[in-house]
Amino acid sequence: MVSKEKPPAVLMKNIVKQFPGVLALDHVNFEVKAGEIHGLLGENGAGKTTLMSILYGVYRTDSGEIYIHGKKVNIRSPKDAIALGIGMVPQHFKLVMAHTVVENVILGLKEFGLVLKMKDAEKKIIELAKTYGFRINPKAKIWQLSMGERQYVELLKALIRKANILILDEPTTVLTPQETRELFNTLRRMKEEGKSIIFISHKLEEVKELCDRVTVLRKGRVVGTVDPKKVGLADLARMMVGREVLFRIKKEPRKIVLEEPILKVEGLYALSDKGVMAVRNVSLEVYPGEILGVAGIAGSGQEELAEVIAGMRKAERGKVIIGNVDVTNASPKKIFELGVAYIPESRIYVGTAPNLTLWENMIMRHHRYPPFVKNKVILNLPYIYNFTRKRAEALNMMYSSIFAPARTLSGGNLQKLILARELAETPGRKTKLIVAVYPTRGLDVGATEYVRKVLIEQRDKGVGVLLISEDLEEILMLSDRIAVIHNGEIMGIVKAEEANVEEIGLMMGGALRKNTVSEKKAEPKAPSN
Amino acid sequence: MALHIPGTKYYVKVERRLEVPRMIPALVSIVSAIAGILLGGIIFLAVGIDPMEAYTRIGRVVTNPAFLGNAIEVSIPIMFTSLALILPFRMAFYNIGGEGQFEIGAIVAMIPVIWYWAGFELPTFIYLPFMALLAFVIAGLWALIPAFLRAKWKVNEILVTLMMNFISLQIIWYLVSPGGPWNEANPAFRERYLAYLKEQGVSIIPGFKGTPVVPEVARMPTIPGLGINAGLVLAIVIAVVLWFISSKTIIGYEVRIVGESEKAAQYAGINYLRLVLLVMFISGGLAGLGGFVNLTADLLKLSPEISTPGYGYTGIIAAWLSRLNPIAALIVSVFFGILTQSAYIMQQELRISHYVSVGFEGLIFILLVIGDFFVYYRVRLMKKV
Repeated sequence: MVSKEKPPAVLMKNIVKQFPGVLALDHVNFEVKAGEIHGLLGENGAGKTTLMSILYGVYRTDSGEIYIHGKKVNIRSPKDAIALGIGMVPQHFKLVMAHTVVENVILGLKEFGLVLKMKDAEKKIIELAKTYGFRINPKAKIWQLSMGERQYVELLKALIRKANILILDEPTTVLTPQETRELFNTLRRMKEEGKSIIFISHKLEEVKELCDRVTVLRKGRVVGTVDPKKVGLADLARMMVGREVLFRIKKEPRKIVLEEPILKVEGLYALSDKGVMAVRNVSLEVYPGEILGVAGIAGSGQEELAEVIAGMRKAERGKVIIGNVDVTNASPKKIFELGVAYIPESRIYVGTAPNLTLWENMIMRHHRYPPFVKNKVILNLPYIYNFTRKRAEALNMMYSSIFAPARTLSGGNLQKLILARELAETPGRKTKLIVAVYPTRGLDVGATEYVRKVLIEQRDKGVGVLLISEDLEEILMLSDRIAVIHNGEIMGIVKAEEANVEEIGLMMGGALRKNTVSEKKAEPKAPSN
Repeated sequence: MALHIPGTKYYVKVERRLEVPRMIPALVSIVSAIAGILLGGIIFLAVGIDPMEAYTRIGRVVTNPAFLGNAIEVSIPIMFTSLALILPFRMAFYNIGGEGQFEIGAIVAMIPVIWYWAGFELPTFIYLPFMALLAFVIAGLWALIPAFLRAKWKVNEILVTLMMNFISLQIIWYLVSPGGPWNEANPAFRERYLAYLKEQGVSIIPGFKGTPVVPEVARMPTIPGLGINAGLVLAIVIAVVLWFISSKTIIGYEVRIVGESEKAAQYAGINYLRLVLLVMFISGGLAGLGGFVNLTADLLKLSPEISTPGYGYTGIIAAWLSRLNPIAALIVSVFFGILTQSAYIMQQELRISHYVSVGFEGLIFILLVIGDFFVYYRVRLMKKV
């Protein structure tokens, strides 16, 4: 009996991929029907990106078969994939910043001639954008565009190459809630046009809202393919993580209320690595015992702000005061000594030195103070080894030996190490302020829970926390107050209990500005009333 | 990376080692050196010499104590120039200026000798320690220039150190050329020097490029019973001290962090300027000591050949092959000494051209460097499933 149903757009059978030391994909079966939006859900390291890289020809599968529209294919490179009508919007955009939208879109295409027929290309782009319900100026330079618009440029690149199977790798991480909604509308339009879409994500709500079917991966294996409308969020989470997940972390109302802020930033300006003013006239205060969340799209200046506070970047103008010490442009060493724990954005190469051993990483920043050092220059190695072992045990870290290089640790264990080290208190130093930049980025659910718990514990102990995150949910869950940053400027600071996702989204996108002066003044006194 | 072998069910897979087992680096180096020596046979065949003949000569250098002693003697300058590079290379500061620092050390060590011939004598026991101190300090200061430029204005240290090598060489040329202030024919030395030469059975001052010779009071003693100069003892002591600094002190620890990532170093609160100045002072100083040893133990005369055949550059290779381990650097240097000595004997006895023996040495270096790949990667033969 021959079925009249169309063959699936994508069928991947028994895909196996082995990387040194890990089986990234273990006999994975994956099917996308023609004209559906198919979610690919899983934690970091579950194999989502690897599976899609195989489909797109970046990696080759060790064994297994791939069928596109019912035909067996051998995809050896992205070129093959494109020829088969597969398009990919990568998580990290691959665009030439100084070039225009058109130039980026037609890069590598032959149909517009050796002497480029720019007018034709522009017309084509406008047409395509209209079909799928978004707008873009083909003559704009990439650097002038928002992250949301850049995503559309990547989409256009795929569309102009006549892709009818589109892979989007975590497309919403860089978007505001409003931009996400627009993207979803565009994707639905594409589906109506008969395109098949693979939507990679670890955000359950989004998958539930958008997708027709979801395949869940865990540790390189398919846990199942389900209709997200028919299962609850908790079920999806359990499939993804393999156990029950706490969605809410218990947080008591603030107990410690002091009049004096532990961190005061006044009219701060700072440059990015590219020499652009990334932080503009930022003023904020963090009080002991509170978490001030900084919400914003990644790359809005919040990383630079944190670096200036930690002494890692020069302030062009303005002041940073910790306790009552002016530390504007002080060294990281001095700021560390004042009791500032800094969890940097880059866990490796800043937060840790990946090729050095566990013990070397465990004492970084503490290494020049007793009891880690004797006679000012000689390392107290027996003490250090013991210290490292004790810490690692207490943290339940998975490690082979304290002499193993730090790069052998998973992201979660690495972050545990950084947290433990930054919060370690020695005779001369008590933690007073934590500056945490994307502390749970890329971590699995267990490690994420752990990091959040530690931040709240510290807050309850009276430590001030400046939490920078791109995960709005995390900000809402942990913060006492929320500052929203857009393009280097603080758009407003609101109390968490009065926060409204819609409003924060608008502020993140730069469409709304709230007067925050009175908020700041009132804040320290408000809870004591 | 996987490579299918045509016509078979097998494929070759190259993968990065997750951890490098302790013995692998040494093992790989030994295997590479042996492979190099065997491959070198092709060179000998090409010039019409039985490779076995050549190999016997190498064997003789290793087994004959006198030849081995010579080989070790030849390796002493390389020990200094390679040890000098261990700390800076560990912190990813690429000091290519070992050659110049070596020469500066030899130049300043010569100062008391010049005074001596000009009639100004110091107490006998002062000479060697004073010359060593001068060589260490001045060569160390010389090496601070690129360190400072790099730390302050991010000036590429490779270019600066390399170009400074030309400056130091030109200083030697200026000093020792005929008519130069330190040339042996300078009238200021004439009387004392002629008298000394007469004792040695020479009646005229040649006046070629070169200074008067180092007098006995300022010569490096030999180790009793070994006939090797005492520079060896100094090199061993330095290696042990370097090992201690790099594995047991904050300096070594901070050097490792800087070498990994300058960002992480900044985060760790490390003062890069201070650390790089300290490390380069030590580095330049050690290379300078090498120049002092070579002057007082071997050449006995300052001339543009003081660092021939490029001890500063050979030191780079030796430091690299030792994987920046000071004890291994001593062993690698001796290996280089053995090669040089073998090449010399082959030239003498088999009448091989100098260039053939140098080519042979080069081949072994290349194989050692290629061998590095296998320290970090392993190659496996796998059957297709």
